Amino acid sequence: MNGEPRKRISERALSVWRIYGMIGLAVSFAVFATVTVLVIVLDGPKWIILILILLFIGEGYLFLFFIPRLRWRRWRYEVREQEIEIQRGLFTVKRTLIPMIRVQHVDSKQGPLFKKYKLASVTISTAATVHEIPALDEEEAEELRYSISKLVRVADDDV
Amino acid sequence: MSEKKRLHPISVIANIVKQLKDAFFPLVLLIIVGKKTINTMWDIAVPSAVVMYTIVIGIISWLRFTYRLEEGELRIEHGVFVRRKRYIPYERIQGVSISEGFLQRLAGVVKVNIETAGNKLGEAEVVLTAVTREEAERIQRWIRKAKEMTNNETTMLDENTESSFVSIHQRLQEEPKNIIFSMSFWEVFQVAVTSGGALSVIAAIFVFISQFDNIIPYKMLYKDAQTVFAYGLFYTMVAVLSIFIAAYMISIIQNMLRYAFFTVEKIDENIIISRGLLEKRKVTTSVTRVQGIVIKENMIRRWFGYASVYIIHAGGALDDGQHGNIILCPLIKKERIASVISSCLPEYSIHHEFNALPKRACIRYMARPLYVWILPVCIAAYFLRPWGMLLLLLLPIVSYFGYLSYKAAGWAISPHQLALKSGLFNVKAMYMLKNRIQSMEASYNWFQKRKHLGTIAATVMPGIGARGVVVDLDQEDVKTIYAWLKRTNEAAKVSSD
Repeated sequence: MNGEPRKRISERALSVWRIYGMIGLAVSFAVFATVTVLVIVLDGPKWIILILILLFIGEGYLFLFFIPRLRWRRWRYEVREQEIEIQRGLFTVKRTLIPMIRVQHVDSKQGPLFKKYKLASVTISTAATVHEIPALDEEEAEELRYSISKLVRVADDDV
Repeated sequence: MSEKKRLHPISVIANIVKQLKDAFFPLVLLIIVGKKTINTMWDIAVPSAVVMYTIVIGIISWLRFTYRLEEGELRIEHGVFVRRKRYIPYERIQGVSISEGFLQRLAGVVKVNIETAGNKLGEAEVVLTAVTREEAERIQRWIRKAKEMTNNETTMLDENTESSFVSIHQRLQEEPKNIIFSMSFWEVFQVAVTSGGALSVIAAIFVFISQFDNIIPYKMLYKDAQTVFAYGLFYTMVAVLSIFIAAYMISIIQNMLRYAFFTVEKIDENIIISRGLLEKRKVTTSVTRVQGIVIKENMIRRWFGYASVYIIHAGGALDDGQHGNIILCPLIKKERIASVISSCLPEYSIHHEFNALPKRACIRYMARPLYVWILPVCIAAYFLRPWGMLLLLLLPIVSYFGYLSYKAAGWAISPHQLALKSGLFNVKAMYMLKNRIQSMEASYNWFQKRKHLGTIAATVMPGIGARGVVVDLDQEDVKTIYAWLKRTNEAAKVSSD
């Protein structure tokens, strides 16, 4: 679809997602290592180890490089006077349109990891649905929250 | 009216009956187990203890339940072990509706449902199980007066708030004036016969039977199995069949009791739906709270040109505890829907034609059921050779079903309204006004992109029932619908071409 939303999320999101990826990688490393040890101790077929190594490399590539990059490229948002538009999705590209008059409230939140990277995510709630824009620059998130709530008050309900 | 008040004592019985109803199956099971394992003393002791306990708790909780109207709030205190207090300011009260069940009618009292504004799922409304008619009326009056006082200062009294407190006499006794829809006995019977409720009763029975699995001493039975087997098979068949038939009958009766005397009327801006034989129910909702209309056609009913109409409404759980959707017409000739809706909810228009999906979506629809079916069917066919090969016939059949749902799906927009239609056994058409749509989602995955297709979804309320989705539209159509909701920027441009 053309006319994509214009703004992107912070590039530092990549670092955070990579950290998540590394945590996942550490977990699978533990599992794979255990299996490898078992294979060696029990004298099982050695090709299992080869497959595990390949799997590990594959996972590393996917979760450290491919997916974060693609996800970041897909994530876009735009706040206009009358509506908010969000685009996201890895394999399925989703675009969401939220009319400004439907917005109930806007939250921003920040976990410890986000704080370290000076990021925050913004949640937009309507009466029916909740939409999240992750990993925005702290100040940008603050500004966004402020401007949305200002626009919400202005938007009128004439259709 | 600031002193604490209790409900009419009949509510003790109502509570106990309800509790016992819940405890009935476990009790029966307990007794059955008891006979096999525990001595007879316990057989009687345990159930009667449960019954005693229920009765005592019922009485105590009646004693503890008090309500009063004080300082512009409805204050309720209840709870046996944990004492709870709930204070609800009048402004938060959306409406007061009154119903009378079988027990209530015996005692000449009514049940008062007080809906609160919370639109979160699970936010409970307050139910006063049994209060006298005068008391109910007094409560309504008090709340209305309090509302007027708070409203008067700022603006004129909102028309809808006022009329959602229709006088109790008008609602329960007076002759209805403006009946928009009603059903004859024959139609009620048809609803009962064709409803999916029969299936759910059967399911419930199976769940019940499956609970026996743990209890029935299969090993003991196994010894006799061989001798019994010859008869057994026959009798099991008969038993299962009669269970099915009985379940179906029960469901028919249930549904008939439920939908008997079904009428829809409109007074001012309120839609009033009443129904029920043993338990009369009245649901009142104001037009402003209607978020959308859903027209459902299940396979059998579609055959005969019938459909059922629901309204999605914001606010408490009104109809049988189902949140959100209220049934407006359980069974209606499709041609009549438009006229009923136009007199009930004039903002909506039902008559327009749906735009079909593009031809290239057809293959995707036909292939989609195969994703699920092809593997199990092939495996089963392979292992059950030679006759199992017949199972392969299932594949074209499910694919045909896919084709049917392709045929059923569609969309339509008018300047103020969006309609999305999809489904297979239950074709669901959802009509939403532009200013009721909370959010819209357009999406496409890799496969759809290759074929220039996309998915559109619109939500008017929390929950799946209030979300309309159509898969595999032409991407241009997706764009058109998406742009239709947009108000700024390129909206005008895109929708014009």
